[in-house]
Amino acid sequence: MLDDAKQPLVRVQNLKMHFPIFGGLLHRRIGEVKAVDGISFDIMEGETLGLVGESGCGKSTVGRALLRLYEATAGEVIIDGADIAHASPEELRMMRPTMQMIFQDPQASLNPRMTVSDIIGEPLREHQKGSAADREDRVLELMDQVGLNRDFAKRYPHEFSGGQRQRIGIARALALNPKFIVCDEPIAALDVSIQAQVVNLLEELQDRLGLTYLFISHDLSMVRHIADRVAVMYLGQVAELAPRDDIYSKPLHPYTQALLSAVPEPDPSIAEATDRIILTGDVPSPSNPPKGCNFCTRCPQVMDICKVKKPIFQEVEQGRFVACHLFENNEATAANAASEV
Amino acid sequence: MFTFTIRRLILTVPTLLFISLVIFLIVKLSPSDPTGNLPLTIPSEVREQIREALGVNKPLLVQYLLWLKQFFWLEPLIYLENLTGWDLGTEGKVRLISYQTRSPVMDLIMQRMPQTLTVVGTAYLVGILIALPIGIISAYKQYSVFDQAGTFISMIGFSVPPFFSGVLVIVLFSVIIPSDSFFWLPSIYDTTHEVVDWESFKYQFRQMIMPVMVLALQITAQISRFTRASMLDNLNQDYVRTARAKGMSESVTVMKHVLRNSMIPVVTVIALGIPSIFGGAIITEQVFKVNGLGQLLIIAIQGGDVPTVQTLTFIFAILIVLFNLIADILYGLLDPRIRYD
Repeated sequence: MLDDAKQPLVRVQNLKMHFPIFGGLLHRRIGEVKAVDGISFDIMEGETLGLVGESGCGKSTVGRALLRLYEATAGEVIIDGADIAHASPEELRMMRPTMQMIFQDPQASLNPRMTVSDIIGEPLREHQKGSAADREDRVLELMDQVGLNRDFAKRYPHEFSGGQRQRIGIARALALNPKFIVCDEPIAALDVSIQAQVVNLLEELQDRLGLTYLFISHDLSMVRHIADRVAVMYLGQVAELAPRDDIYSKPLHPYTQALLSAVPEPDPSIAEATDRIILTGDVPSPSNPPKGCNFCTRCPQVMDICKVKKPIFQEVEQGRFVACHLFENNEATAANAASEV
Repeated sequence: MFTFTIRRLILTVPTLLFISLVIFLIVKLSPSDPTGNLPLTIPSEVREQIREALGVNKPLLVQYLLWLKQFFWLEPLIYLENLTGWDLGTEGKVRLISYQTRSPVMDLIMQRMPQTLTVVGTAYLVGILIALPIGIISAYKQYSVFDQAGTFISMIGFSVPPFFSGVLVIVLFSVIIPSDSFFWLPSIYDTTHEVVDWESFKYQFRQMIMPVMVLALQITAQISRFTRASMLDNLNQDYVRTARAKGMSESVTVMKHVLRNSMIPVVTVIALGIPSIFGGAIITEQVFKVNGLGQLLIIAIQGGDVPTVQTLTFIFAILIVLFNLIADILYGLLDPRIRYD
C-alpha cells in the first residue's frame, strides 16, 4: 500500500513538549506538564495522517510543536528536508511558506482589525515579491478556491459566519502554496452541515494541489472519512498508528478499542449487539503520569508488567505500530533495547 | 458614524445646559462673598452698593439667564467681531467681568491658555512618548527586570502626589545643586520669558524641564500601565499565533498585530485625558508658579470671583463632554467590530 521508495515529507523523532509549572512565593519551577512525551511518526507526501485522542491528550500541542509555534523540549522535526526544531528564528521564518496551519477557532485566530484581503495577502507581502495588483489577484483567486465570494474581500472577519471564517483561515494557509498543512481541529467549532463542507473542501484542495495534511480531530468518523493513516494519542503518547481501514476494522491497542467502541452506530440492531467498552476513572494528570504504561490505570486488559515497564512503540504488523505489552514480541523488544543502548 | 456624531452632538446641548445650571448653583450657593477680600475699613453700606453693582442681589434665575446670555451669545459675538472686523452691535454691552480684576473673564482665560498649553500639553506629549515604549516592552518581556522596574516606577508615579515630587525636584535641582552648575534648573517658571534666539530657547527649555517631568511622571505611570495590560491581553490571542505561523517577523507581529489591537483602549484613555491639559495641573502650576488656567482657578476660588470660577469650570465641562464624544468616535474608527449606525 505504501510505496517504500517514497521519502516521508515530515519526520518526527521522539518529540517532547513539557510545559513548566511555576509556583510558590518565588515563582520557582515546581514541575512540568508532559503534554507531549516522546512521540515519533512519519507523514508521506500527499498523505493525510489523522491524529485522534480525547481532549487534553496533547493533539494540538503536537501540531503546534511540529510547526514550532511552541519551542519543543526535545526531539527532532524534519519537514521537507529541513530541520525545524533547531533552525534559527530567521531560517524558520523562511521555511514558513512550506508549512502552514489551519487553526481551531476561526473567530479568534483572525486579526479583528484586518480585512479579509489583508489577512490572506499578508503572507504574500512578507514572503513574495510582487506588486499590489498581483497580490490582489492572488487573494481573489484564493477566495475563489475556497468558495468565498470575491465581493467580501474588504470585509472584516466578524462579518462572516463560522464556516466562512474557517474558509478565510484555509485560504490564508494556502496563500504561499505550502506542502504541508497542520489542520488543528479545523471543524470542531463548526456545526455539522458546515463540517462536511469544510472537510470536502480540504479533500478537494488536497487532490488539486497535492497537499499533505496532519489532521487533528476528536471526531473519529470525520477522521475515518479524510485520513489515510490514523494515530491514536493518549496522555501525550501515541498508543497506536495504523492505516485507516486496519485501525477501524481491527483496533489492536485496548485504548483504541475503547475509543472506537464509543462511536455511535446508526443501525440499532448492530448497536445492541455490540458491547461497548466503558473505561472507568479519569485520565491521569499529565504532570504526574503513571509509572509504566500511561494507560495502565484504566486499561481493561491490564497486566502486572504494564504498571512497571513502559511498552515500546513498535511495528507489530506491516505498517501497524502499537505501544502495548500485549503485542510486544520479544525479538523486537530485544532489538529495540539494543538500539536504545 | 456621521448620524451618530450629529445625534450625540445634539444630545450634548441639554447635557451642557444642565451642567451649567449645576455649576452655577454650586458656586452661587457656596458661602463666599465677592467683597470678602476687601479691606475691613470699607463700611457695610458701601459693600452693599458694591454687591448691588456686581448684580449679586438679583434673583438667582435672572443671574443664571444673564450668565447664559453673556457666555453663549455676547462673548462669541465679540470674538467674531475681533476676528472679522464686522460690527455686530456689541458696543457698550456688559461683558462677563471678573469680580477681582474687572477685566473680561474670557480675555483672562485667553491670556492664561498659552502657558497651560505649553507646559501641561508638553508634559502630556512627553508622558505618552515615554509611556508607550515602556508599556510595550514591559508586556513583551513580562516579569523581566525591565518590567519589574517599570512597574516600580509606575507605582511611584501613581502614588507620589505632585506637591511632593514637585518640591522634591526643586530641592534637588534648584537648592542642593549650585546655581552655576550645568544641572541647576530654575524653580520658578517665568511666563514673561520670550524665545527670540538660541540662548533664550535654551533657558525656556531649562525652565520647562521640572514642571514637565513632574507632570509627565504621573501621565507615564497611568498610560504605560494601560498599554502594558492591553498588550498582555492581545499577546496571547490566537491571531497572534496565526501571524507567527504565517511567518511574519517578530517586529511585524508585535507592532502590527498586537500593538494596533492594543491601542484601541489606550487611545481612548489618552483622548479622555486631554481635557485635563486645559484644566491645567492645578497643583503643579502652583508649585512652579506657572500662571496658567489652574492657577487662575485657584485665585478665583479664593477671591470669591464667581464669574471666573463658573466660566472656567464650565469650559472644562464642555471639553470633557466633547472629548468623551471624540473617544467614542475614535473607538468606532479603530475597532471595525464597533458600528454605531
